[in-house]
Amino acid sequence: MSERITLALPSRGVLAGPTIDFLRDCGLAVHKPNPRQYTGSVRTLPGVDVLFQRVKDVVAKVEAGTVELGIAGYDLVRELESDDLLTINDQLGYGHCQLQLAVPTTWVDVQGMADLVDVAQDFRQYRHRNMRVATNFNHLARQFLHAHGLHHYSLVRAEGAIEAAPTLGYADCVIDLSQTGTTLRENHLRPLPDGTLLKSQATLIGNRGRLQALGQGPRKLLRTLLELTDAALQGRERYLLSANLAGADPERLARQIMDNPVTRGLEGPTLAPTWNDAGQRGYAVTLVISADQLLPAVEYLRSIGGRQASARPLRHVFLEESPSWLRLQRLLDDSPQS
Amino acid sequence: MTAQFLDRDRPVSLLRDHMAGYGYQLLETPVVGDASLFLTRAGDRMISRLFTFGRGGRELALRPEFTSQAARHYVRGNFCGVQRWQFAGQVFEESPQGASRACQKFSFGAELFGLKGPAADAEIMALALTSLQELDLSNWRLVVGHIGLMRQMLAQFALDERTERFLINNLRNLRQHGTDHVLQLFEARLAGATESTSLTPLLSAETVDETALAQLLRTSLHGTAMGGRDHRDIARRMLRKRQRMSERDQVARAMELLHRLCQLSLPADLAFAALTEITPEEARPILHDWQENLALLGSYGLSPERIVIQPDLARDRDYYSGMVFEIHGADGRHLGGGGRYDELLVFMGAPEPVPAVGFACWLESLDAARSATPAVKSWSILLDGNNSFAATRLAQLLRSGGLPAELGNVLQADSLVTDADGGVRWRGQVFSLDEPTRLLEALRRV
Repeated sequence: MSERITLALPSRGVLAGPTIDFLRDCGLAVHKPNPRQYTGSVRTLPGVDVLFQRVKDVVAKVEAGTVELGIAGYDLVRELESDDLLTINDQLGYGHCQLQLAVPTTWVDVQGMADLVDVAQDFRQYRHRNMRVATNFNHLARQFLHAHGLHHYSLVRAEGAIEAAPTLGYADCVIDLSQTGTTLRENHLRPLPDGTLLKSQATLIGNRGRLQALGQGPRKLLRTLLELTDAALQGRERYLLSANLAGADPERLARQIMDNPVTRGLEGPTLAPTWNDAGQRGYAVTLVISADQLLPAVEYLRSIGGRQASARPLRHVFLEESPSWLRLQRLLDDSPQS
Repeated sequence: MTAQFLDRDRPVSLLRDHMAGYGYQLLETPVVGDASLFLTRAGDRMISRLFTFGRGGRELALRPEFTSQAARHYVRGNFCGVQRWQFAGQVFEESPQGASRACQKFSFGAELFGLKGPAADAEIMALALTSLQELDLSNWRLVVGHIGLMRQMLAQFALDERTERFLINNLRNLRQHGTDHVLQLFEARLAGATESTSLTPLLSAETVDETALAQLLRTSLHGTAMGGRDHRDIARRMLRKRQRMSERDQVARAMELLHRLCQLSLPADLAFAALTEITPEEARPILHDWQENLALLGSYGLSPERIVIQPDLARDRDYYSGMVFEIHGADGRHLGGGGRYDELLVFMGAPEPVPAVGFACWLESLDAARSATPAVKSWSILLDGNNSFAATRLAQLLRSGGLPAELGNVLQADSLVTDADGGVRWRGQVFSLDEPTRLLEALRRV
């Protein structure tokens, strides 16, 4: 039975820095004694070891059961697709990108996947070969192409920049990751509107067998880790809003606040009595609200007698239960080994 | 599929001998092959159920059927003239319930290459049906359609070849959801409008030709990435899209005809009378051949009352080009089917179409349909501790006489009991081990 948990993290690439920042914001700062070392630790959670790997190897190591946990892009997780690989949280909120099918901008006759299916038939009819698709995501590409009725193609594994393959002439179109679309545009490629294979971001993954075998101690560590990451993610999306409201009837104020979904908060407001210089009774209200509803909430509070309001971002919001912990338990319960 | 005890040897051996009697030679094909082979002209349903996996950069698949492998063997082996091949083995389709679960079936069938005409079609149909009879399944129903006739009837609308194939592939949709639905699919998949660009006015001009448009594209498109297409490819396709959009009315009329065909699911004599009325003159020879094909089944002793014509029957493979058929059991169970696929061999590299017709059935479906057939009885011989020699000798006598036998230590109602004097007691009668003929005859009568 394993007594420690190893968390594999990307050592380089676009996810490496943001992952360290994310864990720090969760209260799980990673200590790496030497930049050239491949191991580290989490001081707030002794018992958690950190292993730095190339992002592809992170997924491979978790899948193989060499480590218990890892953080990698959702695209790589889906590409590997294995029963042993559990997706604990696929929305860590950074490293966003899309896996897209893109064709040369010169293909003005191709507006969507239906056109591409027709073009693939043209390749067979007039050029006596399959359409060539450059990608490093063979599994996802096959699934996607077949699902769109495109059955005759050849996948080309591109060395170096995939986007250059159609220009260099060794592929006809590409399936590749794109963050902003700039690289595609610069290579005279255009993503098809219905050509998005998946939207990806950083994802926390685990190995089914290793997590099932955890002893009581490491299991507690794991729960803490998930609690902290969930709380940080919840906090990211919320503000603590305080406002002074005029009015003498706290129940009426509470009802008005509760009646509006924008100000209902997590479980309703906290009200505390206040007195102003003129000796008038009022109430201070404290709410936890969605970040994108801050201004509508302030407007509404003003409309029901709000005078001053202050807001500050939250670092952690703990819900009744950690969603990731619940999800993981469900995934492990579904397991044939459990 | 879970493990189970099955006797495949007996039916397979029966079928092999039966088909050999028609001149069919056994062809063995690999279970794993390049997925692209099985994808050649397979229909969408088939493709979605192909069990594929990647190895070393290749996309491989478990064979879902034998026809593609046989067709490629004919082309690559430089065979010519008439070839008759039979096959038997496991085929695999991904179960729709689970993406990673293989669904395994035991398939047998035959392919006849190099022979065209009603006699060849009838031979394959008859071989399929008499094979079922060899396996004691005589309660079948034959549903027959004709892709070739349907194509010839559609020819009057002068549709683009892909539009025609689209319509044939969407017959099920047409039957279930009507013409408007299929027309919408047609517009979405084949005739969608090209994005409005500076070329739009030119495209709307009737006079523009491929060369002029390609020239214009060459001067107006500045991207360097072309993939493997040139401006002429793009121009040709733009014009074809325009052509398809202008064919909307013909497509609608073609669908009306197909809709009428869908209604003609009738016994052979009634269906042919109705078909004659709507078949244009140029398609009459096909209709005539088809009638002859079905009439020939009578020569094989097959009853015409069990044949239903369904002119729009289009099987799940895209490669059929002529007569197609399905065999159903008394309970409606799909037991197998086949058809003519002359064009498939061109996609395997043949310089021109090769006459080809074949069928396949699945043993599991036959087993399920033949529920009325009694299981082979195995005679139980009592082993009581003192009669080992006599019991063993009796068991061997029965087996050598073609009767299955097993030794058991529990007396059953029908057990055979030996005694030390070489006697055998069964159902109140006594037989002698030294003169087993009377006993064997009595058991065989049961």
